[in-house]
Amino acid sequence: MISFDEFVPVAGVPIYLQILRYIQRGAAAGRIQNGDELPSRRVLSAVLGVNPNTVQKAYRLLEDKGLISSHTGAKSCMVLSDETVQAIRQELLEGEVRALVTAMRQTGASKTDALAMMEKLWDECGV
Amino acid sequence: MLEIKHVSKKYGRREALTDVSFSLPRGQIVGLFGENGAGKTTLMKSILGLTKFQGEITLDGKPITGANIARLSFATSEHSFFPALNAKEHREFYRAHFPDFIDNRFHALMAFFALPEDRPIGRCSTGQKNQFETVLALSQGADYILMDEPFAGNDVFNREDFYKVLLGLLTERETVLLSTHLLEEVQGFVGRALLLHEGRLIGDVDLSEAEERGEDLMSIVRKAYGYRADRVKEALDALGGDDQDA
Amino acid sequence: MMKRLEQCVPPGVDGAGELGTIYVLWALTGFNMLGRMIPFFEALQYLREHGGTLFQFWYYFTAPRYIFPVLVLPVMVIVSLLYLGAKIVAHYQSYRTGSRADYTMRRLPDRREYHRRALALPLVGLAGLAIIVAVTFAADVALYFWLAPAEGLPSMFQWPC
Repeated sequence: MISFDEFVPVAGVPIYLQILRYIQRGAAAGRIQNGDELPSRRVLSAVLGVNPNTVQKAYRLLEDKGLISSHTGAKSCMVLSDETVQAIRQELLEGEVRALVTAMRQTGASKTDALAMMEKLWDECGV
Repeated sequence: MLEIKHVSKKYGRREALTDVSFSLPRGQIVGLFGENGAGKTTLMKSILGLTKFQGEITLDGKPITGANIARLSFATSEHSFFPALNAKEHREFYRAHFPDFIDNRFHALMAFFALPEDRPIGRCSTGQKNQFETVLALSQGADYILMDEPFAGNDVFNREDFYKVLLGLLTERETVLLSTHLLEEVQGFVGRALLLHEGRLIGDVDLSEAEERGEDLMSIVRKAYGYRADRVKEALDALGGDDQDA
Repeated sequence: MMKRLEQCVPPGVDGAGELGTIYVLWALTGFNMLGRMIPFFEALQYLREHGGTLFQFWYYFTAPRYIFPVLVLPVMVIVSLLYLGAKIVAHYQSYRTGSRADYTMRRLPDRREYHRRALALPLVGLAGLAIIVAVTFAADVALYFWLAPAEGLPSMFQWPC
């Protein structure tokens, strides 16, 4: 069963989106595999301390994205293929880079300087 | 469905509630918010028949009488247990009067809170009293659980644990109406917010829909109550013209 | 029996103790009521021998105290009434001391439970008291009819003029 022990809510972002991100990151990192079970809506809402509607929204979003399959009466499980995981990695990467680029542009840096900085720090941060 | 229709209540000349209307379906967790004296307690007492009021309150279309009142339960910071009785004796009393009493939930909550079975409740700490009060309200077997500031005197860790247990316990058919001033704390917990101000209902917000619009509970409340973020600056400006660090 | 008694008083109130006190009050009231029949009896005997206007005079001023107890209640009846009245107040108060247990009592499906528990024992005490007073009153009247001389009987319905 997928664990939400590492889930840390942050202010300012709707919880249901944070749940989505948590699942996506887990899938991208390989911690969450195809077929892994998700906790039931009620259990997850209790574990996180959030309204069941919020969890419902998150699960529905995951279902819409084709990442989970739900059957009434049974727990939902992950539906992940190599392509899906790649797509997720791309989506996450794009999200991170978009935020980073916006921040960098706000500092007034040029594209060349920004790329040079990234080259320099890529290995440094490679833990 | 619990329907509150045009409910008003006067204490002498003071209008505690004015034309309050809303419906509570099954399975919602609803926050009732408002300043002191806004009418939250009066509203709950009216629903429970503990005070007279003008207007109509029905449960599934019928007025609230001895026949259906067991479907409502109550936990209050004033405490409504019997101080001379211990937990065991309370259970006996509740089982005798409320046929839908949920025994295993009672035992589970007693264990979760680690409450003593044999001590008269009146001789427990305030925190334990609050906890026991909610244990009774949750174990009665009611469909609509009304809680009036039930956590006065409990520390924040206690409260967070409690919200989580509550979410795990409640079925989709149980409704909780929780009146509290701890807005930020219950933000994620409630799905709907009723905003009371000077006896009037000034807001009835589905928080999921609000989220879609990019609003959270705190911003909605600020807007509804006309909270002005600049009043601190205004006060400081009025207090003294010295704008410099010494 | 104890269980049933517990269900007739507000939760937490000592029903056995209160019932015991009621028994004592009944007994004392009984003794009080019967006790004052002794001077009543002696007075009637005396007047029967000495009868006449003295009797009418006595009847006007003194007999009502013995025959019509509501005019001058014997001490124990007053004490009992005060105790039972205080208990009714105390019972309703007990729902509001240390917590607002009345919120629970007043939202029970059994609508009468709230009042039933507050009033049951005091009303039983009151009923017993009424019976004792009624029985001794009847005894007083019977005693009067038995002992009053001929002049005494019609004058029961006439004021002396």
